Amino acid sequence: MILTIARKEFVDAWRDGRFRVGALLVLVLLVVAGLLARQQVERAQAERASAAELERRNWVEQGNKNSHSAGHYGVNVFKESSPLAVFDRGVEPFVGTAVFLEAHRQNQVAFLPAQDATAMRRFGELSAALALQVLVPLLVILLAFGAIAGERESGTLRQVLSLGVSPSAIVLGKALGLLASVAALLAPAAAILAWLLARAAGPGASEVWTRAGWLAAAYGAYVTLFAAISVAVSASTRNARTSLTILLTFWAVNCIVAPRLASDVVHGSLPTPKLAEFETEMQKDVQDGLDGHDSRSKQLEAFTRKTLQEHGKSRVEELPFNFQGHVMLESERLASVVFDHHFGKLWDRIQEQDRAVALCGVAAPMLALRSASMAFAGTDFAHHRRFARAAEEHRREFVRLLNEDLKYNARPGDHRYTAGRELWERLPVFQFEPPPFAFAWSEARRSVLVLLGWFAASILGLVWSATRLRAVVA
Amino acid sequence: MKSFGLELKLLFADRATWGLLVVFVATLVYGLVNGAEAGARARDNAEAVQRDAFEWNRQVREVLERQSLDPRQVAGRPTSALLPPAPVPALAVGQSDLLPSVEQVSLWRLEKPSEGRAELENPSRLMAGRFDLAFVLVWLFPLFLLAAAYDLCAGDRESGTLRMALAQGASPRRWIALRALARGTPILALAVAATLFAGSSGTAPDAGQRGALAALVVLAYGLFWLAVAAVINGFARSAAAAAMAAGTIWVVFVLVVPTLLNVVVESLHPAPSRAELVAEARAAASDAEKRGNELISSFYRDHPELAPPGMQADMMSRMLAVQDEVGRAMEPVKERFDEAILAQQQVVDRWRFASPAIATHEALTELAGTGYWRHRAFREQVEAFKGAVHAYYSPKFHKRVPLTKADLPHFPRFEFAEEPASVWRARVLAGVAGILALALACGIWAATRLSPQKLSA
Amino acid sequence: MLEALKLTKRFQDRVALDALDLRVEPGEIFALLGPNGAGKTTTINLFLGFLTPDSGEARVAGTSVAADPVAARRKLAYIPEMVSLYPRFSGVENLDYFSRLGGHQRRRDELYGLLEKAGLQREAAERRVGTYSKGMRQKVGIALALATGAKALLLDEPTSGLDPAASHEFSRMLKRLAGEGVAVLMATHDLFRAREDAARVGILVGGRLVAQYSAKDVKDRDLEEIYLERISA
Repeated sequence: MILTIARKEFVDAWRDGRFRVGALLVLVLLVVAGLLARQQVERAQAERASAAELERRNWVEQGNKNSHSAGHYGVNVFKESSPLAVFDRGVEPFVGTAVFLEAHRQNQVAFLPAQDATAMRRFGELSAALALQVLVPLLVILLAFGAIAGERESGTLRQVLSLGVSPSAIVLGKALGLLASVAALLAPAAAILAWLLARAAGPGASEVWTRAGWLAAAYGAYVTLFAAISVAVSASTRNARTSLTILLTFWAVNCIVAPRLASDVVHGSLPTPKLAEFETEMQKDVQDGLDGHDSRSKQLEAFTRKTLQEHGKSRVEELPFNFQGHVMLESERLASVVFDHHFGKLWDRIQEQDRAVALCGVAAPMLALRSASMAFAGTDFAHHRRFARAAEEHRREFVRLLNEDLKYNARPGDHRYTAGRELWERLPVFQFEPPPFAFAWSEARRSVLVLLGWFAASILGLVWSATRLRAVVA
Repeated sequence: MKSFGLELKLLFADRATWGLLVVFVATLVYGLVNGAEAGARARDNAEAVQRDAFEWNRQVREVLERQSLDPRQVAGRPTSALLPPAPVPALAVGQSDLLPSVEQVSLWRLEKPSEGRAELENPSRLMAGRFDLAFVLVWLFPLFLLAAAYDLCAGDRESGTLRMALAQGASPRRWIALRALARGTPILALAVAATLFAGSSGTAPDAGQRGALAALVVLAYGLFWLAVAAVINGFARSAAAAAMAAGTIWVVFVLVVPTLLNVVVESLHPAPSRAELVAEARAAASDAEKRGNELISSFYRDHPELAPPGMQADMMSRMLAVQDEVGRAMEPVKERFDEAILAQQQVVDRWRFASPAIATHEALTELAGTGYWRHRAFREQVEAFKGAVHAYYSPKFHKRVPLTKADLPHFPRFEFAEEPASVWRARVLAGVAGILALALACGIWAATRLSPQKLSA
Repeated sequence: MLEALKLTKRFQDRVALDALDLRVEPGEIFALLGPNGAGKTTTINLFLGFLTPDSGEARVAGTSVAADPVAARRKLAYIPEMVSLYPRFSGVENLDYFSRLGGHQRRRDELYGLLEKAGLQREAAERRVGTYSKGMRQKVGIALALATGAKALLLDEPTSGLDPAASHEFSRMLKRLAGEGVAVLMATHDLFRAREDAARVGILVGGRLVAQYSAKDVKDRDLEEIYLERISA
């Protein structure tokens, strides 16, 4: 019985010219979005690869110089896109793409692609994820708002019920038919996206299918809950117009209002520090020490005393190594504690905000879906933080190797010491291994839970609406 | 006009109208508050920058009162080039949360690609955008208008009352136009009032004028959507069909067309790679570095007047010469970048009427002072300022002329010059004219559909 | 076959149906007359289980509607004034769908046969129903009753708005169904059809069945006169 109804709904939907036009539009947008994103990601990857190669050459061919000066010369490393950015670019346009690694400083990842674009991008970037988050639910609503309310108005509902069909069969059959119609529309798009993904290479390519599977599940749940809610509302309203008004309001609040409202409200209660204050405080703590009373110069003085004591010498020139390099190592160590503190606090705050926004998904499922989607696609802030962290670790290792070279290879007190190509070549090339799926899962699990809650509630709502389904509304 | 009053009365007799208006007012107020907060933050930042600059100037002056200064001590310290807070920040946050409004200019860093960011913003907040007045006006205002006016006669057509009214000899065009205006008026009035209020809250001397123009933009945009409602009612045979059409058209204009335009813009004029720019700049630098000595001697050959006594270049003069060389090498690369972004914006300007939402958004950010062109003016002026810094300090550097008290008034200082009002006003008025033309076109189309013959068919 | 036992329904404080007692036997056509608001449609809704009675019981072939509405509906067919069909489906597709919902899956040629029996030619049955006249819709309704093998037929003003020829054809079909043993309860304003077709006629006023006549009783008298007399009493 349910299948009979579902099949009829399916055929009916595809015979509806308006649905066909809408479906075609959404399909074209999905495919165009996927292909364009693929092209963009590939181009960006090629650009970054060639830039990284050029940077390596710059580094290796920088000529002979003091190894600490080489630390100041520094090196740029570039961020690679996640293979699933083809599907959901997430925050990638709004986080940097390159970070300059140098001695003494932890820099922010700079150059936001969105800064090199027009304000059009702020309307929302065309991506398969956006189409699925915003347009497909609308299509579902337009298809479903009259599913039962319309039949109530036209009188077919009375006839169907008079045949002894159980209300739950009607409601479930409608929802199923609706989902089948949408699935038929999404199938070709999914096939094309899968084909694009299958060609993906580069870091993280090995776990693409696990992540893609979870993405499919999350979006499946999202579309299903929209279908269930639409049919339930349609079953509970007197006429199609009321049903449509309620559903469109829900859609607009969920897809248009909620993302901005949630991020503004969350930001209001969990603000990020001001840029200028952040930098001033970090500089101050580098100078004065984190606790404020043990300034760097004092700490280094104590360090000098301790070193001399340990080696039983009275002057630094007598030490068996280059003291300048030795101090540099210590001062990097001290500074890194300060950087970890400040950047850690900032990044924690941003993640706190992201989690709070995802939690607002309790009120608007799109927020939970968006957050899960970015996490599975590897394009959320948490993944970006992993990159920034890895780059910083690379910086520390790289500066440490340079300072150690100074410490052990420069004669004590030698200010004219230089190292050359041989050392530069020994320094490792930055390689970022994206975090494993388990990391994405730990980021996404709250959102998935919220989504699951919506899913369950929508199904319950659907069943409940069936128990109240009446041919005649008194 | 009597029926206009009647329509208004009917409208306000409906409790749903009041609900709609209350929600609309709430969104307007929240948008205004949010925009005002962003404005206050920008003002705080600007004041901090100005305080710093003031403090530095005071210190320099104090020292110069007593003694002369090596130019290196002054020129090495970065000067903050500041884009003053937007004239009407409460109107639209625009690009101000993304593009930096301060740039540090120092003689040593003239050729470092600027990597500034506006704020330490959560990237997902940048992605979502702000809930500011422009958001309410561009995105939500049409939804509220359509909610109030989507059913001008479709419901009557469905229930048959339309045929009866037509049989009475009512003129559907006049009647529906009046009804559209009556239904739209409360929402329009609130939107215009909020816009004017945003204008009056601006601190710039021309904020009032900007607010008034913004109100004009909003009015034109509102009329466009009312005309769309009229067109829909020329076709729809039921209220539900009208609502469906209204929702779809909104999505197409406000969501789909802008994202497609973005795709077109970025495919036509893709921005060159920043990554490559950075790496190329460094390659040019290291290349110049290796030829440092040669560069400085050729520089002194060309500019003997700048050569220090004994032609002995020190490290700093050498660095400066290297930097000049990097600047020359990077000029075409930077230009490519600049041209691509400019070309993108020109495409947007040309195609903004593909959706009145785009035209309205562009006009509102322009009037707020948070749009593309004002920021571009800022960047151009910063480039010019870098030139001024170079022109002023570089000769003193090479010749090692000490700075004295008399030089103080001649130190390069950055003062942002706003674009002349006539320039931005022309762009905004072109936008308004375009939106009105679109509204008129829709209105004419609606009029041809709303004939008694076609409506009773 | 159709039984109402002290069937009562109130809407707020208004009594829509007041202790209705009614029996329609297999093969019998019962016409329910009465002014608007007398409770005719309420009676049909109660038999369909779309409303729950405040007291009393409606039974279809012995099954209590309130106790098991789905089972009761399985034995019924219902033809409203305007048979509603899915406009994007043809007549035969509509019949196929509805009869499946009624638990009867039939082959295509069988369905065409039933439609033809109901007076709808194959060529018309293949067209989408968006263009159907009221009479054609009624024919699909009849074919549906045939397809589900309904034991009882509930009709709500079936002939209103039909042209005389269509009305005549409809009544012919109705009699044929009754001849096959179907119990027919027809709520109607059509006094002519009631007198011509019904084995018994009942007059409902203010929720009460104020009079019942057999076909023989009304054969010789003017039904309109009786009706006007009864409702003004």
